[in-house]
Amino acid sequence: MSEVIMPALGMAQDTGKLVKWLKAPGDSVATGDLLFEVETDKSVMEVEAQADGFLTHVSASDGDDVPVGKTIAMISATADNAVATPVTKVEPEQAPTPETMPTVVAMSSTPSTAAALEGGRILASPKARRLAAEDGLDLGQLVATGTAMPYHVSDLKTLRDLPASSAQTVVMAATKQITARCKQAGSRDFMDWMKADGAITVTPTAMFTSFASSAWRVATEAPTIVVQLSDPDGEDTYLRNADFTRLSVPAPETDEDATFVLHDLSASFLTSLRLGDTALPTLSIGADGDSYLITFEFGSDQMSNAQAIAFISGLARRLADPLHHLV
Amino acid sequence: MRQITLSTAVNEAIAEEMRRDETIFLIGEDVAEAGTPFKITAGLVEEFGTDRVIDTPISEPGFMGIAVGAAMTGSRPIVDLMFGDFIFLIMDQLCNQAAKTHYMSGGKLNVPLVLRTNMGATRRSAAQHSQSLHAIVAHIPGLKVAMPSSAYEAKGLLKTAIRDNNPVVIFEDKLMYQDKADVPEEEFLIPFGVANVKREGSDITLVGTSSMVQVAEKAAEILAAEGISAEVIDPRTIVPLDMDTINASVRKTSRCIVIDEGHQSFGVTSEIASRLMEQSFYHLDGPVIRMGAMDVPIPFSPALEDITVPTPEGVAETARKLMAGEMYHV
Repeated sequence: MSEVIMPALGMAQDTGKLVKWLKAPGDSVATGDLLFEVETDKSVMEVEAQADGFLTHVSASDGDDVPVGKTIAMISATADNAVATPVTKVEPEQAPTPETMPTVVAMSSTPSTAAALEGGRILASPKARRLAAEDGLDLGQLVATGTAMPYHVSDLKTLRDLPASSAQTVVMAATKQITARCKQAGSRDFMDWMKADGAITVTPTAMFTSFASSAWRVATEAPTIVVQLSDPDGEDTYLRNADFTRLSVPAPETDEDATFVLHDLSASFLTSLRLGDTALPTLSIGADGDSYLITFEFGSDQMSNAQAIAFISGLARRLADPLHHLV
Repeated sequence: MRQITLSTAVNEAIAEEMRRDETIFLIGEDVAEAGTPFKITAGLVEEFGTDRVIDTPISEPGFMGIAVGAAMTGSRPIVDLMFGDFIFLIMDQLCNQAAKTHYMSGGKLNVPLVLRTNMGATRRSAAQHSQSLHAIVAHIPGLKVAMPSSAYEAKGLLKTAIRDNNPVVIFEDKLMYQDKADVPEEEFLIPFGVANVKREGSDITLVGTSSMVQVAEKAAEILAAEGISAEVIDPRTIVPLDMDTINASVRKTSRCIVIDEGHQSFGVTSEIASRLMEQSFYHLDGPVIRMGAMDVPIPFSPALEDITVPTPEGVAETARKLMAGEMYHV
């Protein structure tokens, strides 16, 4: 018989909210099956079963706030005692409940903090923990990188080098905004020239994606850049290292976490878009007369002001004079 | 500077202090004509006579009791206990009388007594003559404990001990009596509770006591060749213990191995490691590692005896693992 406990998903977390059970009492479960969803002050995570058997002795219901570490069910060899008797209703803790806090609901399909924490904890040296706390770093993000525990100070470098955002990132501490404007003429001439001279069709979206990736790479020296290209009408696409691909060829799609979001609004009346459902840096490119209007929003925990300015300046330069950039 | 053996340094310290203060006398087995088995007190009886250099029968509790009584009544005895292992014979005189008299007399009586004895394995002296029992003494409030790591420390610490108005126990490593070191001809004292940074480093701190300072220094040499910078600290006295220096070093390096020749469990290594955990916890990037003698009676077999105590190679290997984040007990 194996215990199912409320995992600790944050460093200073007292309770987790059981959003809903994904298995019913008495259901047969296998190791790795998704058992329930839990919401913390940061995100909603899915928790997997750690053993094979039947879900029994269920003692917490959907919506309950459960103290971290508390056993909320068992995985047993038989389906008997599916519900714990008596059913103990968990008292809400005094700690601030998730409802009162700004919440980002981020369901991640990649290996996440939650997966590693089901066993209970992240192992890290006291100094590594202290420095991570001082710098606002989430050691849980190291789990997804496959870095072996226990973590030491040297592993914090890996953490700092990660793309500034991922599914676990909290709502940005403070959102900053940069806007820039550049003439469309340079880009239009370039696209016309490609068409006329080489019969190559370059779409504005492909150009924005490639140039933004390139400018980001120069500004941040990130090794991998994934652009989440938004599509308000359909599925967003995730394009990996678009600046490494020829402009006429679609960049490879990936299921990696995005580095930033790109809204191509150049064919619309909109000039910038931030719908508040992402914690990622967000780049909008709109059209304003014969200019592109570039708007970039980012959190102070994601990049420095200097990096953001370098990014947007680099992007504007590229759009104003693509040939110069490409040559 | 001249180099003299640790044995000569101790002899000089006793002679200089006895010349300075007539209330000092030396008492123990074979301290007079024989000069002790290690020839440390040779020549003293010729200079100071048998009233001040007193040979005793094999009667440790008796002469220790004499010394404690003499110290209470105005003398300043130096007791020579031939082997540190014999300390178990004098525990009442040392721990119940000498250590507590000043406290229990409301400060009316002092016990200005020095107990000189030894420690250290690998002399093929078997289990009853090879122990390092300083932790047992350090556990008792009222006793100071000095652990010289060279001839220089042996002389400077002993002179400070003799001038102290309270009981002091000095443990000399019996393997080091013939080791030479630079010792000034002019008079000097080494204060208690002041650690010595023997070697500066930035990656890991090696705290060693007594002969383990040499082990730590040799380990630091091995590690330096591999690009690991080790700092070596000699506390010199374990009571009082200079945690300021040790904490400062560990806060710099974030890693520490404590090396001491006492048994590893419940020992000096445990005490220092615990204090580091309490006082520098948030500066540690790995567990503080203890390296002491194995928790076994010291074997007589040379092959077995040599592996019971920490070696430079063993310390270096442990340091490598600690640096690599591999000192992790599941």
